[in-house]
Amino acid sequence: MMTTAYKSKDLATMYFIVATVLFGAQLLMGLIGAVQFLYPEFLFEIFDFSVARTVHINALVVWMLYAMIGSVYFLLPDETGIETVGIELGKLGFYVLTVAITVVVLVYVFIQIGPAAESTIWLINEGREYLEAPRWADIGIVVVVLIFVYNVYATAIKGERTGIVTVLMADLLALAGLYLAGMFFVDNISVDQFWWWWVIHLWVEATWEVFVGGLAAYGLIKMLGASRQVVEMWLWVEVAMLFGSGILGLGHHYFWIGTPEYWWEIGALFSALEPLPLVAMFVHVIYDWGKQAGKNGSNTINNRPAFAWFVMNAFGNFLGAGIWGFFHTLPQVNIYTHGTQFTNAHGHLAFFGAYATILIGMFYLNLQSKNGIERMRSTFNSKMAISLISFGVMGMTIALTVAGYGQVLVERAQMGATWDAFFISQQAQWFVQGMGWRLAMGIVTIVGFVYLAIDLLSISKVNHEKV
Amino acid sequence: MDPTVIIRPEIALDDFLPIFLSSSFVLLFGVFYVGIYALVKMGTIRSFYMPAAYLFWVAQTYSMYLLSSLLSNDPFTTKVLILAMFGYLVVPHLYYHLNVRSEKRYEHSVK
Repeated sequence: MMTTAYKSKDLATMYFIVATVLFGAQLLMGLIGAVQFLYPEFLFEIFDFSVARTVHINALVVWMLYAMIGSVYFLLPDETGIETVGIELGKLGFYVLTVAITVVVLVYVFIQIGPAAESTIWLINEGREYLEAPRWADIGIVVVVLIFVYNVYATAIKGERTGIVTVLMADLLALAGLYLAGMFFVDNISVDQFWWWWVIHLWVEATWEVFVGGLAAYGLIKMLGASRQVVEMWLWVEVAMLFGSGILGLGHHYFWIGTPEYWWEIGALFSALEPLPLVAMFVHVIYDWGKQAGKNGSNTINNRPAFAWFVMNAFGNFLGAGIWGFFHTLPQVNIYTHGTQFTNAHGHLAFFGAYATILIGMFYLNLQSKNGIERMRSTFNSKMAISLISFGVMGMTIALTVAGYGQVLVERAQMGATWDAFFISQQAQWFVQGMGWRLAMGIVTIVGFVYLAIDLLSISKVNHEKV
Repeated sequence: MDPTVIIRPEIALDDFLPIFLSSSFVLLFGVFYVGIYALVKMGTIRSFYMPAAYLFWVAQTYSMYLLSSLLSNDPFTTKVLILAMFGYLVVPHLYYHLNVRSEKRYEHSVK
């Protein structure tokens, strides 16, 4: 592996490699689950839907965390002007995390469940959706994240503290701290869910979005040469808006789980405000692009594949988190859509649009830096990757929306959300056809991923302008 | 102990599609509004198109009103949502103002 001037960037590469592998694993698990929706006997009692779904979702969360940690190690030397402090500790954290994740995945696949005893929570599975890791792994994750946060803080204190680094320092502390809310249990299921949502919602709709704002700011400076002061001014505006709407937007998860009714008003109002910062981010990227293009002509962008993914992020974040989130975020509608394929459609486009896109962009920025490329061009594989993955995810989203619409009408509105209603709606024509198209579009996404993997392995060998 | 009462808002079957469409239009028209506004201000397209931006804002506000009516919101909530639409009207002006001010302030700064 070619090394860079900073060990921090080499560590970032290690994180990015594992992230890419886990991304592939996530798609493979999604494909198995999508087939099982249509053909339930497929791998029945060999590799059940419950396992495929668990690994699909957890792999998603984990590859994004790997890519986020990698992104911070990548940008830290550029922003602070010094080598990252505690790099050996960071490497130790990387290996501990990777071994822990491997063991947890093997347990998901081969063991899955245990007796109703405390030992199961500690060793096999905590049984909480999206956060299924056993408690030993939870504690390991906290230790690794604390090492990471220490490295970031120690480096920022020793080096220069730009606006981007300052935002990331605050954000990472919140991101790490919120994970603790998912580590304890209470007997009352409503109270338990109340805290569980702190991890799920406050991660993805507050801290992760702020993190993306930080990456977008860094990317615009690196790729377009945008003015740091202007970009950081935007970043602070976005941070204020994201935290302002995102924290109490948490209320949209509290509508129908046994929490007090005042959450209806709080959730509805702040959720309605949540798309605002996404519009701001969208306008900001387009504005900076247009402005810099006007100044420098066609030579503006020094990493075209990364920039294409960053632009896709601006659109995808707005569409997936904004539109697909907004149309089922008010309590009157949410009671009908909650837990249907509508949620699934929103989840697919929002995670892809808001996070996967910009993190893939960071992969390309890393490749450019690692190989000393001054201007990185898009290849045929780069274009195929972004086109097929985006088309595939959008297609899956639309197919799931159609299936969800049928589910809302039949299962929820007409039949009153009973046990029978669930099974009848699963067999309805609109639902089954939607699932068929989802499978087809899932295959398109996987083909796109193959192009992406080939491109990441080969793009640095293409004839780019070298430094 | 009082019997449990489940308060569930009822939505007519025919209203689901208009609800999903109107809520999508709230944001789509909104992005057209801020998009055209920003492009005109940046000089990318002619100022002739500026009225179209405001027309999109009107369409956005109507979509929000329609959504609120279909959801049978109480009058107070409807008023709050329409008030939020005036917020959407002001926000692009504020963004642009911030941009121009910061551009002027840091025009020659390079880092």
